[in-house]
Amino acid sequence: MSGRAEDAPSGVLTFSENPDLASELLAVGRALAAGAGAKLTTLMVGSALRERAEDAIARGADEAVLACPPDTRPGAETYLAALHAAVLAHRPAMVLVGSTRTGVEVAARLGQRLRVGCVTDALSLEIDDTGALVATRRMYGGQFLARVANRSTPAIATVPWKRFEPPPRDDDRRGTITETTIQLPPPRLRTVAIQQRPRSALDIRKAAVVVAVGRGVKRQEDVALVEALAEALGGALAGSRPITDDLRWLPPDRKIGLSGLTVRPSLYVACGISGQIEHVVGMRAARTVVAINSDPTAPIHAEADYSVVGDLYAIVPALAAALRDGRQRQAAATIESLQ
Amino acid sequence: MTEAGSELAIAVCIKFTVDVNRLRPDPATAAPDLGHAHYRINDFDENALEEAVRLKERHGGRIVGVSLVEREPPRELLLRALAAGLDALYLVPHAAAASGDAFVTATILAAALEEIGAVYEMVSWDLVLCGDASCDTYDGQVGPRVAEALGIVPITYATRLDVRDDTIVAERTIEDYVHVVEATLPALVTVGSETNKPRLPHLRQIMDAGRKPIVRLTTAGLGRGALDRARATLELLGVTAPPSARRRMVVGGNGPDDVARKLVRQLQSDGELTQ
Amino acid sequence: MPIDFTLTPEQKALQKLAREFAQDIVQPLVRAADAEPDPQKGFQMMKPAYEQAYELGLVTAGFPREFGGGGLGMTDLLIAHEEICAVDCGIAFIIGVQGLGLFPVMAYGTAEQKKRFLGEACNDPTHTYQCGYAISEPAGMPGGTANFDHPSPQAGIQTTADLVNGEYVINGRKFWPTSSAGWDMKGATMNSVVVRTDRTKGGLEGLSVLMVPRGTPGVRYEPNIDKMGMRINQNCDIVYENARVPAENLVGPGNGELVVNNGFTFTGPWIGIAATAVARAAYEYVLKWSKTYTAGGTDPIIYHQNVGYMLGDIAMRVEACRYLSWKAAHYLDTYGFDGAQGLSAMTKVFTSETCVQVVYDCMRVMGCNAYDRAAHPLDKLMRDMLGFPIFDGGNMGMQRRRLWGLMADERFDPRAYANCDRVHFGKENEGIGTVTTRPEAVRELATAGR
Repeated sequence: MSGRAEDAPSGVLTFSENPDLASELLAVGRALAAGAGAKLTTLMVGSALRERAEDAIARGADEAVLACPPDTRPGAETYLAALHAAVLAHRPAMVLVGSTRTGVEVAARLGQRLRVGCVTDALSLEIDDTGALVATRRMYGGQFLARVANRSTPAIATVPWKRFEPPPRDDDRRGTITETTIQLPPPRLRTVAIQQRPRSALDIRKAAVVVAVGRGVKRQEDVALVEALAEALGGALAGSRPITDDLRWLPPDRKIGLSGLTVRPSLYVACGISGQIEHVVGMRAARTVVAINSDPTAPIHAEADYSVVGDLYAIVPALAAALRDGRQRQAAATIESLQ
Repeated sequence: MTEAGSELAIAVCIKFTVDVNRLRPDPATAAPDLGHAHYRINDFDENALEEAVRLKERHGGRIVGVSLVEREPPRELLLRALAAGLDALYLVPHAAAASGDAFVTATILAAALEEIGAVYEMVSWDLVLCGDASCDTYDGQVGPRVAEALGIVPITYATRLDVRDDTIVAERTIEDYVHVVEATLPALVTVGSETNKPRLPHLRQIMDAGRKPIVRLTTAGLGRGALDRARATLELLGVTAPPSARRRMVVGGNGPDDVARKLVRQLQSDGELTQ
Repeated sequence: MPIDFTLTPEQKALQKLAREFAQDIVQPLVRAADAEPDPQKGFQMMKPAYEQAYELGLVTAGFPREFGGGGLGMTDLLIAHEEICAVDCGIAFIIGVQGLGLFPVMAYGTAEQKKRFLGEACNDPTHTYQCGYAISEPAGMPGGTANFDHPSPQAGIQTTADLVNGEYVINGRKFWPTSSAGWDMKGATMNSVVVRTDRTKGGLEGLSVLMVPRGTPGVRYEPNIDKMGMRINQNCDIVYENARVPAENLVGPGNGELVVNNGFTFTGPWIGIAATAVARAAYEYVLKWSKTYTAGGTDPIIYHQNVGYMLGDIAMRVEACRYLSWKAAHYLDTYGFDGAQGLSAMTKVFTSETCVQVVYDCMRVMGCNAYDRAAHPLDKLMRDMLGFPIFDGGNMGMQRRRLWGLMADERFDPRAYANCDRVHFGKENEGIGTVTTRPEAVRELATAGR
């Protein structure tokens, strides 16, 4: 690097309020910083962060900036102030933020304050020949991938959860830990309460098998048919947007799709789901997809490895029965082999 | 500014987007076939409009829509937005409206909101409502950026909201938590499909929607260098549809039980049934 | 450029409203309601959708604004009606029959009657208002529906209404009326009933319409007709035994047969677009099917020439039926029903008979799979479609006869409809073919009357 590096913004600054995502950002940050031959700085906001800071350095950060807020208030305001201050102080060429809801708000507002661009939910990030930050992201509901160049300084991008593996620890790595304080304007948003959302027992994102129900089910009580299939498969029950948001037959944390969760199970069974883009985005990463839909022209069939064109009211119970039957026979065989 | 118990001045930001469910890749290039695209009102913006109507029903007031448009949207969509409860609709034409550059969109929208409030409606906004994101880019930046540009507090991802005197109380859904917040108006609130279910408009509202004002602003008229300030920050290099690798096998058979047995056998041989 | 098929933005927005209503609100209810063995239960299952339609203004769309209706023209109505019929023509008819039921008031009512009956229809806070329309009478009665305009008082409509002390006393029976028995089998809010108010006069002078409100004593509703198709639509069997209604409920005295003829004129394009919509639903389903189904071969079946040509023939007939219906609606919007009788009858006959063939051809494209009623909609579409040529003034019994009566007139101009000129249809065009050539038959009728 020439002496100009001192003048021109350089390096990568990362931030996520989610510790896991913060570690994952180091992987992308390290790769981009290596390309730019520059420094990787990570920002952490809160208190008692030393251990996490050391972990970040072991995982590739050159510097960890610890910002201690003077009061408690809704996170986005504090994170934005801390990130803004860190950008002014460190003058990075790129800022990476974790794509949580709070993270996207912070990144967007930072972008507006700095009058620069931000690419959200980047699936991959690289630096092209011109030095621009080039991101791939989903577009038009996920059936298309867009390549977007962010030529701003700094160039901001947000990165989704679980997209990258956190870099392995290297306990010999050395870096600096800096502590700062944040100046905050008078709060405009006051927290009245924070409640955990009523959560389903199962986290559908962690299930190996997901069975999802859509508008093909006519009555709320019939969701039980699909639930029985989920049980027979040892899987989790999920739903498409009409089921969770419009009909409210399942809680929102069971929603799969663009406005809900993205799952990557090994087996995904779509029951009575038409396959609107909104939904497909959330299940496209499944390893094997089974679609059960009476409409042979439903778009879900194009997204499936195995399609059953038929009435789910007949197919789903038959499938559940066949699975239970298979399991019983296997259990009987096992017992027999032991006797 | 809202006096205690007085009516609300509400602006709703509306995007007329490509209907992503009816958008197909061009078979030759795998790029989206935008020449044959159908358009719609962004779904979350319909939630924003519905929420505005509900607030107006409770508190009274006036709702105007503001939309940055690359070209004039199909008139039936304008009528639908008006029929859903807008008192007036302002269109701001801008060549970069469809570029997905949230900085450009938010900067011009904010300038337009200021202009419309000050010059056309002669109000200062109590509430600006936006969808959480738009179905085409699913970016989620415009709401918070507009708030930042206007210098008002953003309340993102609101699933319930109400106004009491000059205070807004909202439930935000942030990942696994419900975050109940309050703020003094004015505020910008973003909402999504969990917030409400937009009702269908009455037939007479549709047939009469054309009588409501549709005002076309020019970006040149926005003044204070809005255009200069809104220079592009992003460049769209290309958009393509990745090919699908699904097997797309239809499992048929002699009745449901036979189909079920065949499917179970297939999944077993694939190693997807580990029991 | 006077001929313009462009939909206005208002019409497109209306079309979208109707489509969303049909897909979001009607569609989820249809399958179970159609499968319900008890026709009244199936009808009742659609009540939530009907209330929603009323709330959205779809039920009263065609009534004038001054009474609280939507003020839509016939062409507008057709655009909305097609979208609902494409999902289920049964609910579409339940919604639309108000227009037919209140047609006598709209066309022949006094200012006072319009204000009263249309105002009531358009402003029901419960959103359940219905007006049935009762003309047809059961087989085996001395008279018969198709000969409603027969010159003998003993032929045609035999439900009688005699004026006694300022009240009409109704006796007789009606079979097939739509939406007459109400949600609870105690009667629709209102029924317009074609009756013989003069027992001494033939069909061209002796018929009138009585508005019979719910709760009128002496009206009995027998169980609804159990039909092969259009099961969601309610078709009733009504017995009148000294049922009394006030004399001011009389509409169009002595012009009952014109009410019948012109009511069917009014419904011609409306049935036409409904037939088009059912055919369209079959066509679009089979088109998608043919692009995905390979019949075990290597290519989707649309790449077989016979399938491609058949689909082309299917599509062209659907298009033709739609535009003929639009043309008839446009003519009605231009001149009212006066003179549209011929074009309307042509539309009803042509579209209903063509579309039966279209649905059948769709089944031929699909092959035996079309017969699988659990998996595919062709079963219901065909059952529904088979009603179109035979109801609403059967094509053979009534519709062709109206056209015949018009064409036999010396003044008939065969190019009038093409040129969009006004055509006259009057009492002189009615009654054709009703006069028997058997002299003894006239004597038999007279004897029966005594």
